[in-house]
Amino acid sequence: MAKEVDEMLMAFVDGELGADERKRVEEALSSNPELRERLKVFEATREPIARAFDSLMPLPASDDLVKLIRGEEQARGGARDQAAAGQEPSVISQMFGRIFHLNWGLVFALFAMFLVGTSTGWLIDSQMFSDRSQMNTLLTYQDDNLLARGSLARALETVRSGKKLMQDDRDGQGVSIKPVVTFRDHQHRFCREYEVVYPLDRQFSGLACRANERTWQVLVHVPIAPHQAAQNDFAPASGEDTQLLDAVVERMMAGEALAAENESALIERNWQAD
Amino acid sequence: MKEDVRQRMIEFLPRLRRFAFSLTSDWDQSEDLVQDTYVRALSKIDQWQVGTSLESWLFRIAQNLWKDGLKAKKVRGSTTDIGTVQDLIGTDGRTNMESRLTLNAVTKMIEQLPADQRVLIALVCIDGLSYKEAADVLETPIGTVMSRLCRARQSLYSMINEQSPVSESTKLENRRG
Repeated sequence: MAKEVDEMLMAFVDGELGADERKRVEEALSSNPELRERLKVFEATREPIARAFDSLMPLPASDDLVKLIRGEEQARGGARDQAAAGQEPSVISQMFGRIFHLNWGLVFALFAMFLVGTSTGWLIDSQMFSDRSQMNTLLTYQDDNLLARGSLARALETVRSGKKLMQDDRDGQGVSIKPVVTFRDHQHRFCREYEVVYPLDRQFSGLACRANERTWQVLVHVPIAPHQAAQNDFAPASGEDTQLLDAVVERMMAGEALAAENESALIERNWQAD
Repeated sequence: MKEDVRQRMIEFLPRLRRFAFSLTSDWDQSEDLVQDTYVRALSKIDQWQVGTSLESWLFRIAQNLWKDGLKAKKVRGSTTDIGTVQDLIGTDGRTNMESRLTLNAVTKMIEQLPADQRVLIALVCIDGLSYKEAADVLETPIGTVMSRLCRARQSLYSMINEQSPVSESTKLENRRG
């Protein structure tokens, strides 16, 4: 009974009752101090709670996000016709897609071997990219090196960890690129782990190191298997998948990950160290 | 996609952002959640049925994304605390200081609630949806909405009485007579 009474009082405060019910509750409240006391629970948790959040409403929205919703990026995207972002890293995807079906321990051992065996740690064999027509808007292959290009290069160069750069693909759908962490490797290069998320649950994680002026060499760019999710559900990368990249990053790091303020300062200085 | 739908999505941005912040209690995470929600919505716009509430659909996507994010427990990258959010809001004296204390305290309290209850506080108490609208967002019966919301508010009320700086100062004043 107490539950029903409380729910009735809550509905009274929330304006959910019809006129008759409302009148009955008002009459009961006028003659029952205990009910008035219980009413406070719902009065104190309505307007005061809402008011606390009012200050968030006027904050300006991200220009990138507004452009994305408006589809303005699509209108300017004629140059992307040849290299559809929607077909993003298909070669890489195929390669690592196969690897991911192998024994997990073997995959880890393979990557660990690369890292221990070579200080550079190239994880992608140039032979894999014989079909260069499949190179895409985010990656390019030059002189035996896989390089970040377009929005990926821009994100690595200018976006601090945890922030996202939004990009439209040719269908006007959103692709987001987020640097995750920045660190120095044992060759004193600045390296960044990143995530790329496409619509329809396609996600990639990668690792790139800054080679020279605005050039980022991509060492790893792997598809991440999303969790199985119901319609409308987000499909975040599985923890198991990201363990691989985390392990690679851990082995490459010389010292700790860069603190946010150091990272911001480096971005402002175009990645020139002190 | 029709232009008016895009415009409605843009107009809905502040509400969705407030909703996202009330769920995540973190500025960067809430911005990510908002972006992910729109990316998702734009890619699945054919699943939204004209004639149904676009806003409820966006709320539903956001809360599903958030809940899945909680399950995955994959939260990386930098975070911004509430103090920084207040820096973004600006400082203009006493009113804002009161606002800061309230937002800080309320956010911490909401954070302690179970996920389902947190969503309902965000939808009904903060955004002002009716029980029926909240039930539509969550695809849950109204009775369930009411019982969860009632429990959430009773918990919040207990926390308000225990933690509110205002009530503490009031108690102090009362002791001093």
